[in-house]
Amino acid sequence: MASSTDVRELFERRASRGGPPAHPDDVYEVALARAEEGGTQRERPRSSVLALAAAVIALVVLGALVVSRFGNDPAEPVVPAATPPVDAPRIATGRLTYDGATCRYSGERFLDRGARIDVAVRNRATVPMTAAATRLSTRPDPDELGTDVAEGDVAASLDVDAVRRGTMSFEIPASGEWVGLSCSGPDGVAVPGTVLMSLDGVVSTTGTSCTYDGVATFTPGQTLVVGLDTTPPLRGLLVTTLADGVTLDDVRAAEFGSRYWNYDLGSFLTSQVGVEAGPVTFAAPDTGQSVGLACLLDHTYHGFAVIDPAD
Amino acid sequence: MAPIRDVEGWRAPEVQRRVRDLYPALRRFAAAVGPTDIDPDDLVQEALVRTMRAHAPDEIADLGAYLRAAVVRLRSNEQRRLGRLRRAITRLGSSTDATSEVLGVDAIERASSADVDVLESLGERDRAAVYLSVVEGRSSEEVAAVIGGSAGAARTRVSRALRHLRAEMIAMEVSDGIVD
Repeated sequence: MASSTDVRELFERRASRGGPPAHPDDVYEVALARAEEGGTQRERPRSSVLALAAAVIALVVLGALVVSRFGNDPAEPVVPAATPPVDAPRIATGRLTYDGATCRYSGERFLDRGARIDVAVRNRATVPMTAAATRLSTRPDPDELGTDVAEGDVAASLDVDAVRRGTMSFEIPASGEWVGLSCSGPDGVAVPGTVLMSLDGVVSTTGTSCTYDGVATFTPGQTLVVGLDTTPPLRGLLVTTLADGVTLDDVRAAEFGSRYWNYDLGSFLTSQVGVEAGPVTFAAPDTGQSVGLACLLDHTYHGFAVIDPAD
Repeated sequence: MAPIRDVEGWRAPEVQRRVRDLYPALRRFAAAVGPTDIDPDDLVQEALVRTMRAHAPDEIADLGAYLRAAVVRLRSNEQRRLGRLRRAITRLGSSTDATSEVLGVDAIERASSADVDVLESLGERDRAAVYLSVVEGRSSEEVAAVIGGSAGAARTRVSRALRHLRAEMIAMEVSDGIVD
């Protein structure tokens, strides 16, 4: 006989679907922007706009053809068709994540057709990186990326259809150099979610603690978020120790579900720490349960570990 | 489309913090209860947008319940919209991979193992009611606040849905030879 536990497990597994959870602030920001806009761009029926544009173009071209065929000086250039009316491009809120080997842009779903996302790889090394972006899961062809990417160079451009939703990703060699990743819209405005990070930084665990060693990998203003995800929820846990005199600015407990383990009923503890250098360490309590540890840097997981105290 | 009701209210830091705190549970709710072909983040975001357009934040007594109810109500519209998108993408000849990424099909496949599919045999409101009751441990009154109706009706709905669910699970185990 199926028990409530079975039912609960089914729901937990169903809840595990989907990609990495978006950051609540990002979702809120986009929702607020859309609500303020009244949803006109997203909901506007495009078929009528396109039909009107096509009709305008057809009339102009037809008129030009008639003029050139029957009219005046055949050498007179045909008047180009008027630019069809288009909506101002909407820049999406996207997210760039980096898991140590792959940069992934999870784009928004509300870009207008024809907008573009440029993914730039900026290399602050004195020596240009070679084949900075080696693979793309979507267009363009990797051959278009070029090999020597200097600072500020655009390494890849994707049109909206390619990244309307979902992800594009490319691998970055472990160069040990700073690499900046950004996405920008057609007007050059950077998409929120741009990150700048180093390829350095590892998470290590000892069975009772999680250490993120990201020496000299933080840009000013960035925060390090250390997350502790437990199964089942363990409320009231606090980060207990921080090494190297790091000041704990803010510790708060909140519910948080992780897609990597325990999709439901997780307890998430964060410490947002202003870190310039040095490891951040906290002790995991002896819970008798598996404890998952993740360190995140601006929404990017930097390694995972599942600790079973029984080990 | 209606404009936002109270832009300053929704911009208030304390309101944003409330939503931020609610968000993980809301997302889990959307993922557990909503249709599998819609990204749970999308569902929650859409629910937020509609809520912002319909109400000022101080008009909503229980924001969590209201947003959950909005998620439940969104199902049919979003499913239709994404169904159109899927067909359009197919027509454009996008690669299978690209289509999968666009629609989150990979996620669907992960979540579509046979036993989890049992949940699909429940309607949207039944699924929400069971989830709220069994997983979130909500009272009948709280369940009713999300799915509508009276507390008694919510209690009946949960019981009926659980009976159905358990019967389906047993039938599946029998067919799989797990039990005789």
